[in-house]
Amino acid sequence: MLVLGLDTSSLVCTVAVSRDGVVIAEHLQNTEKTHSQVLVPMIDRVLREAGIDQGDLNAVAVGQGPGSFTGLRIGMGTAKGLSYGLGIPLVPVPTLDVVAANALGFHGLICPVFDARRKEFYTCSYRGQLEAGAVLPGEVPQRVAPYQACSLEELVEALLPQVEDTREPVLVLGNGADKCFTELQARFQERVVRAPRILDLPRGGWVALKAEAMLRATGGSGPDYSPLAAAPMYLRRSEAEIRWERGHREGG
Amino acid sequence: MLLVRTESPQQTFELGRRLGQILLPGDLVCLEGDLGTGKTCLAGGIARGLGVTGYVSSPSFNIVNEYEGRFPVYHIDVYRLEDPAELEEIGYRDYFFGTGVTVVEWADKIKELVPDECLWIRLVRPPGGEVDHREITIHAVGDRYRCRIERMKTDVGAGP
Repeated sequence: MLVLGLDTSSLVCTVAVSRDGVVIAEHLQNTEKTHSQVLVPMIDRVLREAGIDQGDLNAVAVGQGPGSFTGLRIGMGTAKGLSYGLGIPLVPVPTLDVVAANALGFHGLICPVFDARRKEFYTCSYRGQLEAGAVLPGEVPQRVAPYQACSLEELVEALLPQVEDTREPVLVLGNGADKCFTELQARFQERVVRAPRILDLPRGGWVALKAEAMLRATGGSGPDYSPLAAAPMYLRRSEAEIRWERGHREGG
Repeated sequence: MLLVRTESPQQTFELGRRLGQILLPGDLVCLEGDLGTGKTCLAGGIARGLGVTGYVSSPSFNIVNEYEGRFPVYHIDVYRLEDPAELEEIGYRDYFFGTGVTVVEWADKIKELVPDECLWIRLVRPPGGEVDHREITIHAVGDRYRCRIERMKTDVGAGP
């Protein structure tokens, strides 16, 4: 199975191709350049370096966020175009899962934190232990909490039970890690660990591998992986939802 | 605070151009003023000062126009938004907290989303004045902008 994976949900632009669980080419650019200018040439380059014709691809995978709205729309739009044009599935992969995968094997709780601006964060938690011979690389780490958009206080609250119930350390990573780490350290002391910054960046390779695992798990009969069904994970309530709620409150 | 009186759209544009020259990546400029007071004209000057060469049109219909100057310039008009929350869907966080300069027209409509620090500019047609005369007040909100305004004062001191 040949899968093209990409993610533009943050300042990072990354593209990779995997074949049957092995990454055969990968690019990553973390230069604050406009994704709309960088992404398509990068896809072209990665396919060329991998020696693959787009027509040979079996699926396109895209980091669906949460993250920068503009970035998400560029990635999702490009992935949809490729998937629709080539007539192959489009697999959206949560970017929190993608960054958590960087810490695969860590004994404890893996906690990716993305900067949502305005002192807000996107986060989730995972367990990353590898058990002998158990799983495909795309299926771990395992998610143990809901994806959420939250304030710094809510982030601390969300971690509190997990830190108190277990004796495990918490690994913090992602582009919001620096903005929350002082606070987390003040609250949880040596129980929290800041991951090396290279692990903060989402990688196209993981996007592709996760998608492979998702496609294998469903065997083609699972969720709708059509380009029309895929949507970014904004994790913030839409204007329509806010109004609906307001209307219902006012209506009694 | 800095008060500048301009007597023509050209002078308003020129004020914008000088302002644009001292702006830095991450800066936010909020414009407040009635229809026809020169917000888009001032924004066009700011873009020119930031190195944008082409014509800067009103973003009333697109809501956001992007330009490439010395750094990215985001020109936003929130007039048509019915609720500040709509700005969330547009992805305003990418602009307000990004690496470019953001200029927002009708910023008074989205006050609750404006960060603690910004340049707040009010354009007024003085009552009883000439048709092209404008009073433009520039408020530096927060330390980030205060020294910038001091520089403007010495620049503009000689008149537009």
